[in-house]
Amino acid sequence: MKKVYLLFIAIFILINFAFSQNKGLAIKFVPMYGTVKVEQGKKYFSTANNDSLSIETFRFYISNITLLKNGKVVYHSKSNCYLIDIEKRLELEIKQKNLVFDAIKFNVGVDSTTNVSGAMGGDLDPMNGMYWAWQSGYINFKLEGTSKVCKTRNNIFQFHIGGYQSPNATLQTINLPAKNNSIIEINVALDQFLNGIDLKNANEIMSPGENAVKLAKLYQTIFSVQE
Amino acid sequence: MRFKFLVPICLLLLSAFTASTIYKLNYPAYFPTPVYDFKKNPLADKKITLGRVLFYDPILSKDNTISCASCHSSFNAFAHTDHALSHGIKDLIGSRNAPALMNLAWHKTFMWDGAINHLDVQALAPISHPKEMGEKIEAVIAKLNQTKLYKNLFYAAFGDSLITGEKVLKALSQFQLTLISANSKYDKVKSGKEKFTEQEKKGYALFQKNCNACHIEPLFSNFDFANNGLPVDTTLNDFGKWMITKQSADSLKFKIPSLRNLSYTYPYMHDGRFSKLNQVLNHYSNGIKQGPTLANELKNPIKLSADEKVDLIAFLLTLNDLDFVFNPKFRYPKEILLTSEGKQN
Repeated sequence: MKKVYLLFIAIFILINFAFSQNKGLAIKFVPMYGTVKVEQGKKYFSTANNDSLSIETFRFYISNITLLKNGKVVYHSKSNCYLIDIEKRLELEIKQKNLVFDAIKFNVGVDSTTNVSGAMGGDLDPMNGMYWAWQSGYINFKLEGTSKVCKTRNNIFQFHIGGYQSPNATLQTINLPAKNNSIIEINVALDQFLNGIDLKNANEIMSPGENAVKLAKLYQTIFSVQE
Repeated sequence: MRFKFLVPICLLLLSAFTASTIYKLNYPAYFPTPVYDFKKNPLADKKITLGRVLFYDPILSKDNTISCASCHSSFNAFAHTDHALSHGIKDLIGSRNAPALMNLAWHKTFMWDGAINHLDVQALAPISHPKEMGEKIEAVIAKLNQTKLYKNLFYAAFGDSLITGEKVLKALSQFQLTLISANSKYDKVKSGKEKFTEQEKKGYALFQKNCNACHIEPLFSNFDFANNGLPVDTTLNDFGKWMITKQSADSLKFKIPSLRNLSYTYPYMHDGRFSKLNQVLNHYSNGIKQGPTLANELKNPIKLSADEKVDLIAFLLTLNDLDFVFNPKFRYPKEILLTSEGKQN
């Protein structure tokens, strides 16, 4: 009888140990408008245009996640692309344990090889609304909403930023310092993005080109790690 | 008694095997290596069948009226005969001529302007175009997921009845990849089974001298883009590849089509402006409009006498492939689409 007890205790300890070790690393994206978290449909105040606006859709691809320690790569996600979506998923999990790092690097967007490799599944399935039908290529960053300053149908603004061919490639690399916690929270300052755009005149950018590149360079600057 | 259980297990194993039956694509040894990467989408009988059903099913369009085959008919080498510009849902007329579909595994890009970079994603363009099928891919997937017929067909093809964009697109590619035209008289001459007539021989020599730079044998295109000197139709103002790249060097360049099956694929050119082959030859001999992006090969007019034109056409007609056009495997899959209950959903 005693043996059975011991066995149970041993198994219990083992399982506990396994679970405690199972904690990987979480990367969480937090879309922000100034000091508040962005919620779909909620009104925010745009300082640049002196008017209110709301955000209805916000999605972007993350790829090539790399963790570094003193400039050396300690983790690399290979070529996986993840779709971050304010409606569905803001958090990614890295299963590898015991990572020691002081910086994170990732791409916003889908690399050019993936862009020319035909139909993909999962996060890259064209049914996710992040693929252009009329011209091949992924939309790397999609932000849609409404603002009275947009003299469009239903006051909509739509930014579908993509393009993988030079000179209009929009893939952006982000480098951020990161504390060695079990979660990295990355703020995405949508106010900074929207205030950097003349919404009255530029509110529908939905094809690759110079304007898309400009906006990609703008959103390259809106990511920061939460202290 | 024990063997009673074995029978269903064997059947299950057998079905697992048939589900993944590999399809061997047949094409002549003198064809170049295909561009399509079959490793990423290995051909299998049931996926091809599924692709064929999708190709012929108007469920892909917003109002269930237009299928791929509406503008790509098997009897016309998968072109839209007699329609200069193709029409989609609600009789809306598009701005270009539906190209023939054949030997697609060798194409580097798709559409007259090269907007599409891979066969797999080509179908997204006509499905979502407001003047073609006018439907979002998400909505198509939702419709298919509600149809018993497709749940079964996807299960048979992929071993999983959940329908996704990737599976729909890959199945459509599979069927289209089987559309190989390689049994014309030209091909029979190539493989030593037949001989050209004297007139066809003369035409072949003229072809090699004047046309083979762009319409390269044996596929009869290099699938590049060129300005072939057509004056701009001001009712369309179509500048071809420029519409996509916005690079002035691409202005008025259109994808070079194959010359196979010309008897079935009229009218010709991106806007279907010519309905007869001799109009096409007249264009090349005395209709070329000079311009900065005009193909080098056309800067000096191609000189052809009336007799030479007849000879050249005689050769071009040897590129017709009846076996391709009348292949029953490429036709409407009535045994699946007409009898199924799933269709009534």
